[in-house]
Amino acid sequence: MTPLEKRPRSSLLGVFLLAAAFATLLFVVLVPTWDAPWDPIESREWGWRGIAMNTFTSERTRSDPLNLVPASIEPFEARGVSAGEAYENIQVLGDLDAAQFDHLMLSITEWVAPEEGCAYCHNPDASFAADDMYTKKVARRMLTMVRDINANSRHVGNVGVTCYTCHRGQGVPQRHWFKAAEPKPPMGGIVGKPPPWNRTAKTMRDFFPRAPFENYLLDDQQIMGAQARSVSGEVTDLADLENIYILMMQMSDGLGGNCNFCHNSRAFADWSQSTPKRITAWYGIRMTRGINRDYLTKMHDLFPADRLGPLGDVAKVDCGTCHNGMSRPLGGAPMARGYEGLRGPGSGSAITRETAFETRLPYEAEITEPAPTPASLQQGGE
Amino acid sequence: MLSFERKYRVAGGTLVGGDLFDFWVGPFYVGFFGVTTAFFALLGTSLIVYGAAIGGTWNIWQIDIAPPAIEYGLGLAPLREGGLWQIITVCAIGAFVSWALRQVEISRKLGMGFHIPIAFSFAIFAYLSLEVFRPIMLGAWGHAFPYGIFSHLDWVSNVGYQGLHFHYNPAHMLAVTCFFGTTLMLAMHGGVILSAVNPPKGEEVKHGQHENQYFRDTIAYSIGPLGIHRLGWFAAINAGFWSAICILISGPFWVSGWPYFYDWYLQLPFWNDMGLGGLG
Repeated sequence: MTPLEKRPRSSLLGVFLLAAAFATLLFVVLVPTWDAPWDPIESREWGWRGIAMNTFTSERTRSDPLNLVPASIEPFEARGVSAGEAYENIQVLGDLDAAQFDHLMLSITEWVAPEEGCAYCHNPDASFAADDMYTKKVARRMLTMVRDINANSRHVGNVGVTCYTCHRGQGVPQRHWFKAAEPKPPMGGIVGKPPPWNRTAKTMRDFFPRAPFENYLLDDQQIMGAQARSVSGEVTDLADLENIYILMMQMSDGLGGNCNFCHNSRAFADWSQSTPKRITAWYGIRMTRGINRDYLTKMHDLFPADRLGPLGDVAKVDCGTCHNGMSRPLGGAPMARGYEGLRGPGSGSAITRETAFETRLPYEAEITEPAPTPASLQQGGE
Repeated sequence: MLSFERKYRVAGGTLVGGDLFDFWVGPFYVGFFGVTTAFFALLGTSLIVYGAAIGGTWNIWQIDIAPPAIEYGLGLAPLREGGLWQIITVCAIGAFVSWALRQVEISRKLGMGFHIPIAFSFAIFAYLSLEVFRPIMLGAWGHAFPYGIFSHLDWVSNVGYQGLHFHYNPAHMLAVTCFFGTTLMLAMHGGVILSAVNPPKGEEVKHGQHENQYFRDTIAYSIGPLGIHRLGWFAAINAGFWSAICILISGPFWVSGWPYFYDWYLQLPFWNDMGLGGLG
């Protein structure tokens, strides 16, 4: 009797599967831009200890060159004449000392058009007083806006903003948004849901539909009902939920944080379990609305067609436009300090509309002094 | 003691302590690691009760023994500000590891393989990842979860939202797949065994070949009586392993939202050359 032929234990399939697994591992390790604990990862805690209301930054998220604070221009010695007397056609800054006016103009050039120089707004072939370039007319409205924000916005507080807070040396701030056309899916979409993405997307952000931006950062729609209420039987419209989620994704990303910067995620809606940052953010949403509605949208007629979006609307701002991935734009550098011309009269104008009296008063201290204090949590232990 | 049990109560096989603890108390094998398990478990539980006593509430849902605030970094904290949590964590690790080593000793006594302690060590690995490895990589014990029913649920929820949407975490996807896969396999395995030994009235009890044939008829393949246990063991271990990996990468190796993890796909170099029109 011949013994049974011994079959080799190795199989081609096994070798192939191992190779495929190894290749997949190699790909997943090498291709995505991972962070690393030796970056080091820096973390901050915003809630009661132990419940992980933490935010993180890494070298990758901290090293955006756009977040470097630019060198400031030394202030000029006062000339003793106002800009209105020294120059023609001064509509906003007429009362400013002419030297401060020059200083501000030079700074604006550095903040917005460092390469194009004065010619970005002033026609070099005409008088500096001429209003023949659209950029100059836009700049004048923008100046009014900045003065309004610095004088009236609770969100900005004493830090103040300059053109650089958004522009970062570019004519059009890097992060902005337009309304988007209803996408027309080539094959009718997947299960009736058209793909709302742009096929040239470079990041998940480009997949976001624009409805949340229009609803919450342009119109006055309430941001409410982010959690289903199983007890009361109240059911939130899922489309609203998705819109709120996307708005908050935008905010997290714009601030380089996450949901826990403001919320205890178990009770998103509960103010008593939220951090003081949520109040600042609440004002921020209203300030953003004000900027989009009272300033940017109203400048529609000033812009040439190539500056408008696919639906003919002006570029608008969201949280990331100013914050650019930091919880405080430019790390909270008080860039507006020393620029008298950037602070308008504090008249409580239309920009903020931050009028929720009962929300505002008890927390004013936190808003002007944003030192982190843990949220007061209703739980045992302390 | 059962009549045949004495046959299996053999001396030796201990890792530590020689014959000193090589005895049984009632049905339980003691051994050196049985003693250390009892020591750490009792001490840890007593400290939890002490923590509850000084914590201000006996409400079982709200008792909370939290790790130190992250300002303490990887240092020691005062007892009432996380120090208690640190000692309890040492006790927990001591008890879990002792239990695994006790499993090793029992396996050695019985001349068995180490599949049980290996499987259990993956659960310990997951616990260590949550409470030790990830906090060390993030630089503070405060990143570990607290001991308390509501408070640890807060932790779970908030860690999920640290990544904006945790379901996009690729290792979490694998872990969840393995968890659900394991329960599915256990249910199918239990179902086929129970159905084979519980035939209708008048039918004979069925055995292995009926079980095999059932799966050949339904899904064209039966993995067999040994294979199903290998598969179940493998899937269960992978559930624990990938859940450990998914929390280890969340923070230490990825600080942004998990949805953005997939941006690499959108940024592959060849999309630019494909002439795809944007939708505007």
